[in-house]
Amino acid sequence: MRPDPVVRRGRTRRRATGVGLVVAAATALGACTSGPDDAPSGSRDDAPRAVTQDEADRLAVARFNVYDQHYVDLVATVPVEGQTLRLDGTADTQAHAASARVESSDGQHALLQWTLAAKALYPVGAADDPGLDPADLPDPTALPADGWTVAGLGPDDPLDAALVVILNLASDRPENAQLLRQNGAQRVGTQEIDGTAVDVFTAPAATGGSDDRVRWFVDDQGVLHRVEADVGRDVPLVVDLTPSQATEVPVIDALVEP
Amino acid sequence: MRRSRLVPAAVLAAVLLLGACSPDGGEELPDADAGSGDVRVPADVPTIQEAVDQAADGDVVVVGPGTYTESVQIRTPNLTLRGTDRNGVVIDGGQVRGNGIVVTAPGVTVENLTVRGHNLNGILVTGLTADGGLAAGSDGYTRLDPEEFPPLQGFAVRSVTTYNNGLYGVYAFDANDGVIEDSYASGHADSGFYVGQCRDCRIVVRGNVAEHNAVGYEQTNASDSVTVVGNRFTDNRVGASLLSDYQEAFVPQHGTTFAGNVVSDNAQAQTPAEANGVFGVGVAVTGGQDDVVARNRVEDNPAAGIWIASTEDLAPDGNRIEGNVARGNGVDLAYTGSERAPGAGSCAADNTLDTTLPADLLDLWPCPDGGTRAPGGALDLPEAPPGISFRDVPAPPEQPSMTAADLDAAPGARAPAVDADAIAATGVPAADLLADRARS
Repeated sequence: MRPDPVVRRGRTRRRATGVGLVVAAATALGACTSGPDDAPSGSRDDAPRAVTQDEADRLAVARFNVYDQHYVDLVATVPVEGQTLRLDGTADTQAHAASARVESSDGQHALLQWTLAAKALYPVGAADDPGLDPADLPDPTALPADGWTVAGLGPDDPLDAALVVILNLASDRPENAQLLRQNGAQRVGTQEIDGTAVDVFTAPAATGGSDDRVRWFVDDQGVLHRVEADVGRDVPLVVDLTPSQATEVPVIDALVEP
Repeated sequence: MRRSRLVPAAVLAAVLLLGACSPDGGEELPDADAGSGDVRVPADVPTIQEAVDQAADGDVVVVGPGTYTESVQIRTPNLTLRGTDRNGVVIDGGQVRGNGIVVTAPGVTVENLTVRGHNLNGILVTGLTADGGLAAGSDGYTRLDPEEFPPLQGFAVRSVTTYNNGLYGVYAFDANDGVIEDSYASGHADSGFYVGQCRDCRIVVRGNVAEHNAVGYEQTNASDSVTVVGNRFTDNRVGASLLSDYQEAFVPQHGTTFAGNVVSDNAQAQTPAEANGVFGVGVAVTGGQDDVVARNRVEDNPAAGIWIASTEDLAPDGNRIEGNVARGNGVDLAYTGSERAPGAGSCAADNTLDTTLPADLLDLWPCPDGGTRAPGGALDLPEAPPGISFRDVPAPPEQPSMTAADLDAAPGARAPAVDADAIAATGVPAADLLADRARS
């Protein structure tokens, strides 16, 4: 049941998407407290300032470009209780499904698949375990049919929150660049990621001003290379994105069936 | 008069009375059309922006064939930006630039060219200006202050092709007294054509084709004198939407004439998703009042053909649904006024249709008195198929270029006189109205 029958306006949505860059991340991270008090990423020479029109245009299209890529390879650093997880996998940014190899800081390996609603975990064991080679992912033939533990995503679980953030990085249309400018988007630095120069941006906060907790690393073509979010732990959540050669991201039936 | 052979006589008569120009295919406009004060691109200057900046009030900038990778800001009043070849003069956003052409001066005409591949809009026309350009410091999209930003007066977008832009193809808001005509839009994630935020708008939208967009034509809080006639809005997710929205100035939308259009087959899955997930709707009036939806052909829209609804506390009052052919839709005429904002005074007469919601709606909505205040039925919307990237919608077919005769006949950068009697006399258009310009 939709609350309003028709086309309740772009303005409504754009009002939201004007701050959508932060909403996408912050809603899922809503439980977190203030982040570490370190300086924003980027060159120290680049003092934070309001974005130019060109910068607003590029920031406005960054999330859409992730959607437009459809499949992205991702490497994510996810701080959770007591340790850090490293996810290395592929996401279908349009169907909202992802698959990754997970390595914990204490050397445990697992396969992970997830949607916006649930995750499935398949323990592989320690790095020297002779079990299924997680490097085979995302080849669907490598996926074991059984042995998965399926669970719904919970709002208070730091891993689950990060999984939702990752799947919500894409947006099916550009944001309103005018609103980004007038509502407080900032360029807070510059950096290089794998040889590509990127600007580091913060987006408007839902409550006004700029939200320093989430930083968007966008190149001169408006391509999003990295998202970094303070989640109230020692290290930030970091998601690196690159276009993928994948043409599907297979997930087990239990994740797609209601 | 190529189009005349394809348009039913009644529609043709109305179009002629409305003074529409008559595009023809193919030929380039000669430079000789330009006057002595005019600027040619690339002969005189290499970029459109340089030409526009050089031009004085009233000049014509004539652009020759080529792909121009620039975002053009027009701040000079009464300027005409004209391509010599509609299909060959292309302003390409390269999937990087925001807007193709931004018009913030009165009396500007943009005609006979193509705008594609921008992340925001193809052509934006607005009175929301600062220092002659697009204002950034105001909260204009959501809370336009009409005192601070009075509407731009006079504009024309004529024989323009716009496709694969992120939000709107042609986007006019806070602008009065203009015309969007003989243009084409596909592959837009919001809508192909958009008119918003004006009172006493005096805007005519006619002879356009919008297909393969999330929404073909959209009109928000634009009122009193908007005439949408003789267009083809087919193969979108939603054909046309007239609506009221509190987040923009000038609620509620009212007083539009939407007549003689073909609004059919709006169930195209290979389109960007509609923002609220709607799919399969022909014409929707959402919180609009005193609108006239007349003599349209509205067929084979799987959710609803003509749909009258409330929004928030805004009742859809006083709308007249008259003389339409609405068949083969999920529901041909649906009224879903809410308990919170039940409508009154709407009427339906002389329509050719098979199904209504509620089933006895025609009894409840006599003309001219209209129905008593009451909520409507509940419409079961089909699940929308997943959308696609606006960039992945295929390019449109070639569109007819203007001829020298078309230029002479064009009414300038203002709303042409619209003869209400002629519109009233217009019959329902044939299903193939403007079909020669559509891909399907």
